[in-house]
Amino acid sequence: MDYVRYTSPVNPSIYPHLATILLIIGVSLSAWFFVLPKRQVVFKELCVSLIASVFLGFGVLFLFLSAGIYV
Amino acid sequence: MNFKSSITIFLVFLISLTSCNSIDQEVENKNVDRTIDITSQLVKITYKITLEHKSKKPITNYVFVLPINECNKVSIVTARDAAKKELKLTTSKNSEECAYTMTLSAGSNPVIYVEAVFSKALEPYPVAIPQSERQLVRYFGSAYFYSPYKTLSQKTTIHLASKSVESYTQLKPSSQNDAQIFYGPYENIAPNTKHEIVVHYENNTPFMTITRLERTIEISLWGNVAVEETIDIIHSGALLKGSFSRYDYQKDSRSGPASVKSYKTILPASATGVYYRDINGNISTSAMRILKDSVELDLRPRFPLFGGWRTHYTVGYNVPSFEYLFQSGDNYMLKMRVLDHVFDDMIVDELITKVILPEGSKNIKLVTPYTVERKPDSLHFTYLDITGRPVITFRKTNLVENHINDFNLKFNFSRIMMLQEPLLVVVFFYLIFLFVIIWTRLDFSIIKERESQHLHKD
Repeated sequence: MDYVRYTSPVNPSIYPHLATILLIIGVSLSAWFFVLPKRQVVFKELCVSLIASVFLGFGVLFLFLSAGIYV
Repeated sequence: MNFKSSITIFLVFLISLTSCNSIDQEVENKNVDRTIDITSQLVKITYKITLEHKSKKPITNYVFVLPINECNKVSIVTARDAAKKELKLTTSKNSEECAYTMTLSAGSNPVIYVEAVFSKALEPYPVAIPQSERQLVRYFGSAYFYSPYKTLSQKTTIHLASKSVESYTQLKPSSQNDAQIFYGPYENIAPNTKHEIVVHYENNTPFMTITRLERTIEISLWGNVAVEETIDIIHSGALLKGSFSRYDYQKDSRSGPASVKSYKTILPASATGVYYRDINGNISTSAMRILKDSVELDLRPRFPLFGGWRTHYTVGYNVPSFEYLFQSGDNYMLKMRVLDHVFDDMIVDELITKVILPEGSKNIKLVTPYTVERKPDSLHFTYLDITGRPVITFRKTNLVENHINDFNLKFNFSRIMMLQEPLLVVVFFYLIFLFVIIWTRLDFSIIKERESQHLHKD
């Protein structure tokens, strides 16, 4: 088997920038979620919160990585 | 039954016969050059053995033997042939000696280079010294090369740490010149001849033993390998007699010649985020120099180490994964050192190496450069883990610098599993949002909405 050197799927040098951007988007979306008017139909709220949690989730992961917690 | 037992007896007989016959009395050590290096706390002996067969037949195997009192102290024995190719050794031990049998390739020039390193073979004498005294040690050895073969000609050179020699056993012809003692040449020494010699000399080099070294290697597939070493060191030289005077120690830089103020640890060149701390926290009296091919740490414990004093600390660093981790599809291979340099001429009593693999690694295969004691695998739980990370643990005792070598660890890991950690956080956040959505739709007020409006009107 030919082994090649293993590198991370994301370049470690951009971890802090990635964390900042993803977290800003995630927090903004969740802020929007909290000011959405209460309706009978929850579809919009579910969508916004899903996108927000995806951004927040990846943002937190890269925050961990850039802080030196290599999970 | 009878047939079986007779076969076993025959086999045992055959094995004993072959082991007796493995020493060919026709083989002779034509010339032996021994260099005994006792400049540090280790005893490093290099042998250059030129062989000869009486009836000019090719020599197929050779047995290198150590007497039993040296067997317990030997840390590593390596043998090379004339082309500097390493020879494979098979070890056997009985109550009198331990034997290292090597197979020689036919037709090769019958010169063998053997290197043996002994730990704790130097004995401080006197056992305890005051702070200002220099450290004297005794070396016990043999003037003759101990061998199951007849030795035609041999000589020995002992390299000492200093010129000051209290005494050494005389055996003509022997002489001392500066920091060297010469024994020999001696001619026609019969097999298994010993002649004990004692060299009593000054040796102020650091006598430090690492009583326990725990090396933890944590792999992250996000591009990092974290290494942490927890180290217990004891000064294993002459014990300190009387009290320690900090005043005398600071006043005269030559005071406490046998004590250890600081030492150097060499880390890989790519090491980043280095830390050096003990249970109190960071030890600031240390320096780090980044050299071309390594990172050099100048570690200075909180107090100088005198005989019998101990210290305990942790050193850790990160290295990028591309230096040590290799990939082929879903197969991964980690290639790292079993142990790394702590200080020059170190002795490690007990080494425990732990490798923490990513969560979900399977089919783990460990290949070590020498035999180690594999401990049962365990699980390690850290951030964003569900089932725990597999931990491979192995242990070895009595190691020296020559044991610094790579091990290979192969494992399978499907890359999609890397998404498990971020998805865990995503699910966590989504559950909070769902909770909020439901919460805002529940009505916890005691009075109905309309009624409350009526009340306000009143």
